[in-house]
Order: sequence, then structure tokens, then C-alpha cells
Amino acid sequence: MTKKIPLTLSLILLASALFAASGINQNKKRAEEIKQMHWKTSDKNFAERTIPEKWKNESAVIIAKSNMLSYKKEILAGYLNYDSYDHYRIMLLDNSALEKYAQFSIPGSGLFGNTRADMYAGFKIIKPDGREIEISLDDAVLEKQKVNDKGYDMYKLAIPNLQLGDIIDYYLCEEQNIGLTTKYYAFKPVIIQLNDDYPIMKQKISFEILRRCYINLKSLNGAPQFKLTEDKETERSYYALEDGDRESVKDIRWLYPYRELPTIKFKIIYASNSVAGFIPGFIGQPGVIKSSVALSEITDLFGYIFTDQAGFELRLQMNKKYKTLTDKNKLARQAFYVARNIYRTDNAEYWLINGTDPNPDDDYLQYIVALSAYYRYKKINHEILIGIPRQISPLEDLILENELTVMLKVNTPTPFYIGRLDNNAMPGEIDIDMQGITAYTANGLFLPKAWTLKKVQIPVSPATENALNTRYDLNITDLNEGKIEAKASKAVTGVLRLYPQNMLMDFYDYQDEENSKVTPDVVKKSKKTQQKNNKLKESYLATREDNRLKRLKTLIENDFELEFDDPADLKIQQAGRFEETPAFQYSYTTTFKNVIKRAGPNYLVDIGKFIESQAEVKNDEKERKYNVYRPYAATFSVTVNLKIPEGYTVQGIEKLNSSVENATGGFTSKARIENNALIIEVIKNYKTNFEKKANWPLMVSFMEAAHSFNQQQILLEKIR
Amino acid sequence: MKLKFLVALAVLGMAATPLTAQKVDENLRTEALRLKSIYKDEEIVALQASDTYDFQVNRNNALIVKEKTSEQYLALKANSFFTIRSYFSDQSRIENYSLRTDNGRTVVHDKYCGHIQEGDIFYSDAQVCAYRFRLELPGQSVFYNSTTTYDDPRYVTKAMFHSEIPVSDRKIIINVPVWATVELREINFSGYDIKKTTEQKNGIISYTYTIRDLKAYPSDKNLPGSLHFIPHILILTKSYTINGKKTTVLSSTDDLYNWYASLTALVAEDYTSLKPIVNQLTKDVTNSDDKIKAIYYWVQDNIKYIAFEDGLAGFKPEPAHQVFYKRYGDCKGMANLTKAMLSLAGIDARLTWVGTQRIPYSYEIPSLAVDNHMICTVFENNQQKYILDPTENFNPFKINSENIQGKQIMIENGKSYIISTVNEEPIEKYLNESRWNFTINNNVLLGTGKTSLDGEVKKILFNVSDNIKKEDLDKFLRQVIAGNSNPDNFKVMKYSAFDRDNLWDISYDINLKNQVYQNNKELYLDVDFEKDYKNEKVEKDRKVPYKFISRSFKKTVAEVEIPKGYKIDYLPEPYRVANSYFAFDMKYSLVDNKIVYTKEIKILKSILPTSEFSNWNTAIEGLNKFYNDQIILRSND
Repeated sequence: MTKKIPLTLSLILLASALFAASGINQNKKRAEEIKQMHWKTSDKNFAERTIPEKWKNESAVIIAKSNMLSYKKEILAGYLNYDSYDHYRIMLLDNSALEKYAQFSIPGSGLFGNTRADMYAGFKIIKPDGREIEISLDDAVLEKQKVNDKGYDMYKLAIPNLQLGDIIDYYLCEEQNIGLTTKYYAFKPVIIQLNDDYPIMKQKISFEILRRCYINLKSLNGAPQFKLTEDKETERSYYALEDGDRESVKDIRWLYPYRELPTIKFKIIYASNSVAGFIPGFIGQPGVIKSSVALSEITDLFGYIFTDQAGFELRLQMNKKYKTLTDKNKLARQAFYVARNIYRTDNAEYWLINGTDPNPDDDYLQYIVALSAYYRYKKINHEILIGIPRQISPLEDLILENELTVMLKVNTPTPFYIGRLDNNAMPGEIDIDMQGITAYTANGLFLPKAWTLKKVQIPVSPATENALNTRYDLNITDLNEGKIEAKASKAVTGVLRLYPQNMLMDFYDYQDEENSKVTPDVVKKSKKTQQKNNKLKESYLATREDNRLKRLKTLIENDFELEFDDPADLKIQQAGRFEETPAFQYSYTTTFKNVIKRAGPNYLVDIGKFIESQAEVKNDEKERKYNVYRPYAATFSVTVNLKIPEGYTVQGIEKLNSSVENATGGFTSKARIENNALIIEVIKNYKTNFEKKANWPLMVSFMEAAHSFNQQQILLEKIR
Repeated sequence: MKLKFLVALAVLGMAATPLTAQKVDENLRTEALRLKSIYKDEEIVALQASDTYDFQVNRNNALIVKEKTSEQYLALKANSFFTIRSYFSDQSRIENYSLRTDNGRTVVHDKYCGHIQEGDIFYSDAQVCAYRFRLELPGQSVFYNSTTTYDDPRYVTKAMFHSEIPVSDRKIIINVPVWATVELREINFSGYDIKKTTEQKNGIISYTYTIRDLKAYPSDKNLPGSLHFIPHILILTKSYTINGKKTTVLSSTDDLYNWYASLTALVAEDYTSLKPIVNQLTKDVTNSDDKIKAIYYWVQDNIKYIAFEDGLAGFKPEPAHQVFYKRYGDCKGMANLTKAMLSLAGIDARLTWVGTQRIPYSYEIPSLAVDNHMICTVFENNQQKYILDPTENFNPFKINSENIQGKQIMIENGKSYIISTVNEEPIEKYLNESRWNFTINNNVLLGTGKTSLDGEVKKILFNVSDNIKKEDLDKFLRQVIAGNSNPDNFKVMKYSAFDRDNLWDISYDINLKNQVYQNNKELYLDVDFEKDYKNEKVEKDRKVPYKFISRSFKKTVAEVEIPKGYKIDYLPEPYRVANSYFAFDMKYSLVDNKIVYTKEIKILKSILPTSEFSNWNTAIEGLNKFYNDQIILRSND
């Protein structure tokens, strides 16, 4: 039940892996010890049976919660022990909570690869009169699951006799024996929020770290610090965090919880004495918490990544094709496009016809490294910017090597940033995860051992760079049926263009342009491969148009709360992949339905809907406790051009003029009649990617103005 | 913590390696192109698919059934993935399977086998083996063969034609030895060109059903239970004679009941622990109806429905005292506990089998496929009086829940049984009525409302309200009353308790800014913020019946005070349409100085057949037109 979410650069959770099963509580002696440990504890928090008055109306209250982790390596043992013991005591106060805790699924013990895992669990109910009823696991049913003959069994337990007001007290434990083939083992990093779906009276997170295990750990946003604690019962010492009185937290718009709510992050590494000194990563003293990182550790880490040997293919192609190009402004940019071609576009057709993801996220570092190596080789000034994604932590809270992210700033006469790699990326785009953060900068002309890291503020791309400009030409085709034919033309720049580009555009749309800008590297393919690729291409092309019209339909559904016919005439006018032509431009047609109401001889048109759906601020969102983290600054502008039907005039134009502008952003709408058409121009912008919570009412004011415009109608009055 | 079935399949997807080595046969490639032009959205079709059911005798001289599946898949698109699913349970097993290319090579594939987690069934013995493979090029083909054995022919109940992909040549073959009596019933064949041949050879009668160019199983939303409309064959194994000895399987309704009764007879009951609660519930209650109600409601409120479908336990109720102790049970356990508690209170209560509305069969069919649910029937003076379904939380006493209305039931009656029918409730029992009173103030429609709910809607909303977090209840109630409007325009003032026996009343304030439009001296007024069924036409290419959530009866009466200085300039024409499936009746009138809007919408049958689609769509067009027509008020100035 703990909110454990992986860090950006890691993939899988630390806990709750699934194992080839052979039961729960199999080792009876150990099962009894674990039971005693949890249910015969002297911890008073787990004996509590009452909850504070203020939480009586909650769905459930976590009376006590304990997560204990233990990492150890016995002398001479060829394995590592990792144990986790989760213990919860929860009072259930409504049926939704009863429903949630009436059934449990527990993975069984067993072998998984080189890991032996033993699962232990215990459940009991405490009735309001204090009676305790232990639930037998004998009633659990086994669900077998085998993937390619490897078993992943699950035990399902229905909790009997559970009623409102009961307390459920249960523990789920896993003792892993990890076979070691190397002298090094890194557990996945974990980030935990201290708030839960239910309020928490008391909670404790503890670590036991013995021989040769290293821990990097930090408490953030007011989370209590870990303290070294002696457990008199077991005579062992732990690092423990004790916390309590935490209110429940719901999902909140534009909140990065790890930046605002009490959080801890940690990572455990096992390393033998002989390898500890050589590990590329932030590592402290065995058994002692490491909670800060020295600059030299960062340069040491990057010493493994940034080398002169990187980017051989890039250097080769640049030397071959652009030997005569000497203007560093142009050369640096061309290198970017060639790198994009090598790492993405060159494979784009193959990925497309084979149905593979064209933008895998796991190799962006190698193209940054390749470009830096090339710039260093060509003595092009550039900085390497190292920071933590803004949704995770500020720079001063760095403790894990894999929370770092990297970007380049190329200091040619017209400097530009190089953010993440994407098939449609352009020079000058700042990674949105790094906008507005403080990062370290290093001189890219040197290798890391010569770096002197300095702090630098990364700018936020202005709202004008992430812009969506739309024009709708509307023509009423049937007043009584309420049908309006629309021709939509869109131009999208910056980060906003990535989604429609990925939905609507493919390799064949930009193949010619790419070849004209980046001299293609012709590699002759075998006849057999060629034939196969032709068949794959033919099959892809057979459904290409249908499929992209379906995806366009999804885009329109996201934009409108209106009924519409299947879109047609999709045209991509500009791919938006080069600095000179930064906008992705496309157009389509469709017919919207049921947007007109009759009023005697006149008609009311839901014209406000044509500026596309605007975010609504619900009543319960208006008060805000937390700062506002938007993903980026952005501008959205729409021009609506409605042809006025013959025999009618437009009334109510004055209601379409409005303006709310402030320091956080704004919404302005203007309407006029021109050449027998109603022309509405609206512009909405979010000026920043971050606002203090005190400024939230300013944001609400223009968001409400935009949403309110959505409801506007005009009257087509019959000329009598 | 739950490893969902789909997650496991996703794991398969990651691992599947393509079938690359295979050459593409030019004929198949041409066929793939032809089929792609017909089945535009499909990646794979079956060129042929056959299921052969062989009735055989095993070593113990018992009748068994072997189901042999043989299919040939053809890729219509490059990089097509397909997952074959082969189902089995404690009563059947997969003997063997193979996946081969047309030159006989084994196809690389991933395999998942495990229990199925479906809907709200907590545990079932139903299992699946899923084989996932990838075809890299259009025109590539794979042959699949599999044999599943059923040791008890009772569990072979039906053969379905449809599959999740289209099939060019679909066959179902049923081979029955002359010494076995197996009846085949053809259901929903109308509209499908299914050819049947029968031939007898070597003492085996072979029934072969063939259909060509069968589309994939429909993926439409709001589908009724598939048995209502999908063609299938009911397989009724009645008896067999081996070595002169006749063995009855299920030859009649009597056999079906006797088998069920033999299982209920095995339930070891001990009512001792139930006595205190029954005494407590019936203390000071003299009227037998009140006793029944107290016990019925107690079981609904205190026993959580958790479904186990495990082998014979899928047919045998759990003892009442165990359900009582655990406070959970499946339908059989809950029906059995209700019967036990009523019996202790001196009421004649009996276990009752029923097929819910998902199943279109009646008890003249002797098959395990005929029912899927157990309830409890109360008798008085040996006469059937009430039907109780304790799994239906918040279902009122004396009201039959929608999912069993009109259905036949089989009631235990000592050594025999009674077949009866569950009465349909009149549509008035479904009433969901709203009354709104409005004034117009600065072009804002201000008012108060009261919504009174009954019937299935009330039951469904009680269940949702009871199962959401306390803090979310107000928001949920506002969503209920707001219809298509913004819930933030409503403020719930009070609501009555969750009482099964009375209407559920919700009172609220309304503040609507976008329902009035002023044009000089004219006010255009749109009273209805709910607009039930607006735009809800059935898609024009839909070929399968449409299932509403339930029957329903919605009535709305709204009164709008005409603002001072205004008079009515225009009231939209009334709109009425009525047939045996639905009825819309909406109108405006002037009463004193108020506009009175009344709307009555009745969904009289929960399934709309395809033959009614055109009527429905015409009615919705009329409804849209009515909703889109505004009242006009004109200033006297």
C-alpha cells in the first residue's frame, strides 16, 4: 500500500516482485518468529485501537504502519540477503475501505532466477470490543500462472468476518536470498511519499544495513530525518524514521508531489571492499547513510560516460559529407541533424514498417555524448548541463546517480541548447524537465577529469515557443440539423508539436526533406532484405491513411465535446523538424453536429465550443495548498471564421469580447464581423512553468474566463 | 499486488519472436490482399476453423468427449500478433496442441497458462492456455491443432461459431455413436447461412455445420448476453448404453434437478450458531412478512458477495453456518444462509435455481447451461409467495430484481421440484422523478429541485454511494442530479437515508448560467439541463441488439415563473412517441403564470432488437429537435 514510484531513470520497483511459487509461511519456525516479531511487539503504536476524532469521517485510518528493510551479506556467503517486512494496522470506516481490504492477493515463495524468496504473511481482525480473530491462510486459494513454463503463483485470501469499525492488522514479508555472481549488486532506487490515500497516525520506516552494504538516503520536503536506533529486544541497530499525524492526499492538478510532500528517496548497493572504490556511482561508507554528493563524485561519474572515443560514426559522417563547412554556427547545427539522423531517422522507416517504437527513451545519453565528443574534436565551445528533473528534486538534494539528467548548451555565435533526442527534435529545445532548474555546468571542451562544476540557472522557454495556432473556417450546412462544416488548419511549435507529430506524421511525410538537409548515407541492402522490406512497406501503406485518420479522430475528440463526422482531407503541410520551419502544420475537414438550437425563426449557435475545450477549475480546486508545477509555458490561439448564413444577422457579439491578463497568463477574446463572416480571435497563455501557490487565484481567473467562453452562444437572427 | 491475466499476456507480447524464416506462398498472399479489402480493421483471419466433438467411451466404460480444434490463420498485415486462447477447467484438460507453419515447422510462440480472473468472481477453476505468436509478413500462415478432453459430458453444453477474428470456412462437427443419445438444438441460426449435413458411418452419426465468411464476434458496446443473438448449438447429452447398461447423463429436467439436489443433500448443515442472530432479528416480530424482511435485509447488509466457482463447489452451496461465520459467500451460500435463517424463524424457504437475463433458455432444456444463479423462494401454506435474491444489495423485499424478472425458476420441493416464473415488475416501480422550480434572475435560471428515486436506479445508486469514500458522496450526488450539466451548478441540501422501502429523495439548489439567452426584448429559455438520450442514436452499421442498463421510467416536471413584464411568445410543440419498447412524452404548457415542462421517458424493455433500431433513431431525431427548440419570452415593453 505504500506509494513507491520508480525514479525517472530506473524502471522497476524494489519490492513485490513475483516469484515461482511454492507457498506462504512454509518455514514454520521462521513463520512463527515473524509472527512474534509483528504481533508480540512492544511497539505501542500497533496496540492502539482508537483514532482521533478529526478522522472519524475518513474512509479508513492507518493507525500504524511499519516498513522495515534489511540488507546484509554474511561473511564468505555467496549470496545477499534482502528482507522486507511491511506491517499495517488500519481501522475501516466505510464500505469502500471494507471492499478494499476484504481480499488480498499474495505472491507465493519460490525460486526466480538466482533469487530464492520466501513469503510470510499474517492477518488478524480486531473487533471494536477488543476481540482479536486471526485469519487462517489455509483458506487462501491458489491461482496458478505459468509464462513459458515458469510459474508465478498467487494466493488469494478473502478476509472473513470483516465489518465496519473493525481494525485489520496484517503483515506481508519477503525474505530474499540473492545469489551473487559478481562482487557488486545494486537494488533499484526507491522514492516514497509519506502521505497515503488514508490518514496515518504513526509510521516508521527502518533500515538495517550490515556488512558491505551502502545506503544513499535523504529525507525531503520536511520528512523527518533517519536516526540510528538501538532495538533492545533484538539487540540490533537500525536507521529509523518515525513520523505521524499525516493527512490523506488526493490527486491534485499540476502538482509534483515529490517537490511538495514529505518524501524519502534511497538506494542500496552491495559491493565488496575490492570493488567499492571503482564503482561508477555515488557511494559512501558501508552501513553509514550517505546523504550528500561531492562535486568530485559527479565528475568521477561522468568520467565513465564522456570520452573522446564516443560518437565515431558522427565524426566519420561529418568529416565525409561536410568537410567544407567551416561556419561553427552552421557546423554545430548540422552535427545535431546528422546525429538525429544516425540515432533516429536512419532507422525510422525500418521501425515504422516493423511496428517498433521510433523513440526509445534509453539511448538519449549516447547522442549527447557523441555530439559533445564531436564539438570537442571541432573545438566548438559547449557546456554540459547536469541536473535533476524538476519533478524529482532540486539539485541540492542529489544523492543518486540515476536521478541525473544531461543536456548541452552550444556556445556558437548564436548559442543553442540540445535537449532530449527525438526523431522530430530540433536544435534550441530545452528539455522541459530541466527548464527553470539550477544545474551544474561543465566546459565541454574538456573531459570530466578537468571539469570545474559551477551552478547555472536553466531558462524557461517562453510561452511563445510552445504555441498552438488554430484556424477554423466554419460553414453552416444545415440550420435545423445543427450541422457545421469545418476546415481546420493548425500550426504547432515547441513541445506542443510532439504529440500531434507522433500521431499524424510518419517517415514518408518528411523523407524528402530529411534527404535534402542531411545527405543520406547509402548502405546497399541484400536483395532478400529489400524484397522483405518492400512487402512490409506495402502492408503498412495499405492501411496508412485509415489509421492516421483514426488517430486524427482521437485528437479531435480530445479537443471537442461535440459530436462530429469522421474527419477527412488530412494534409501535412510542414513537418516541423528543422529550425527554419519549426512549426508542424496540418489541416483537415469534418462536420460538427448538434451545435445549433432553434429559437422561433432564429438560431442559437454554440460558438464558444469552437475555441476547443478549456480546462475547468472545479469548486474544490479553487483553494490550493501547494505550489503550481505546469509542465511548460504555452500559448494557445484560435481564430474562428464563421460564414454568416444568408438572411441572418449575428447578435451577441459583444459577449465574445473579454480579457483577463495577469502575471501568470491570460485569456483574451475579440470578435468582429468582416466580409459577412463572424471572426473570433482568442489567445490563452500560461506564462510560466511554475507559480507560487499565492498566484493560483490569478491562474484561476483566466482559466475561468476561458472556460466560461466555452459556454458562449451567438444568435443568428432572421432578417425580417 | 494482483498479477492480472492481461499483464501476463503483455509479458508474452514482449517476448514473442516473429515467424521470419517462412516463405510467403503467392496464393496466400493474394488471398490476404483480398481478405484485407473485406476486413479492413483485422490483422489476422482464420482461413478455416473447425471444432470436432467426438463422443467416445473411456477405459471405465464411461462416456467422454474429445474436442479437437483445427485452425489455419492467415496474416493480413505485417507484424501481426495473435493470441490463441484454449480454455479448460477442473472438468477438462488440454491433451496436446501444436502450432506449425505450412511446411510443418513448429512456430515459435509464447505460452501462458493459468487461472482466469474475470469480473467480480473471486476464484474460479476456469483456466486458459494462451499461445501468442507473431507473423511478420502478410500472407504467412499458421496451423493450430489442439485436443481437449471432457471426462463428464454434462460439462459440454454448447458449441459457438464465432471467434474473435473472421473465419472464411467455419465448421462444427459432432460425432455421436449410435449407442449415445445426444440432442443438438440450433439456436439463433436465423440470419446466418449455416449448412447442416448428417451422415452415419461405422456406427457414428456425424453432424456437420458449416458457415462461410463469418465475421468476428461483435465488439459493439452495450451488448446483451451473447446467447441472445449469437448462433450456437446446444449439446444435450441425455444417455448412453454400453454393454447393455444404460447410463443417464441429463435426459430431462428431472435429471437436472436430481443432480442438483444430490449436491445440496451433501451440505452438512449446523444451524446452532445461527440461532442467536435469528432470535435477535425476529424478537418481538409477530408478522411473518416482517420476519422475512428482517432476515433478508440482514443477509444483504452483512454478507459480502464473493464468488467462488470451483469444480463441484460451483454447484454445491456452502453450509449456512460457514457463510454466517465468514460473512461472505457466493450466490449459493447466501441463498442457503437465507433459507437456513428463515427456516429457523419458522418460515418455509427453499433453494431456487435460475438463469439470469443473460441466459435466454428455459428449464425444458436439461443442461447445466440453463442456469447460473441461486436464490431463495418463500412459501406460505405450500404456495409460492416471495422471491429473495440476497446477492442484490438494497433490493427491496417483495420486489424482484431486474436480472431475474420474467425468468423461469426451479424451486426445491422435497424429492421433486416446482418450475415457476419470476414476475415482471410494472414500469411504475422504476420511477425516477424530478421536480424543479425555477425563477429567472439576470438571465440566470435559479431554482430548487427534488429528485425521488425508486427501482433499479435507486438500487444501483445506493450500491455506488455505499461503496465510495464518505468524502466523495456529495460530489457523486451532484453528478447524479446534474445529468449532462456541470455538477458545480448544484448544491445538495439534503438527502434521505438509504432505505430500501422508501423513495430516495435528494433536494438541491440549482444555479444555471447558460440556459437563458437574452436578445433585446426576447429571452430564449432552455429548461432541461439533463437532456436524456440526446444524440444517443444507435450506430447505423450496428448488427447486434442493444442492451440498456435496465428498464427505466424517468419523469421530470419543471415549473418556471415567467419574469415580470414578460409573456410567452413561443412554446415548442410537444413531442410524443410510444411503442412496446420505449415511450417519450414531453411537452410545455402554461399554468397560471408559470411554464410547466413535463418529460416522461420509459424504456420498457431492456433489450432493443435490431428490428427496432430504425424506430429508435427516428425517435432520437425527434427528441433532439425538441431539445434544440427554445421557449421564447417577450418583454411587454
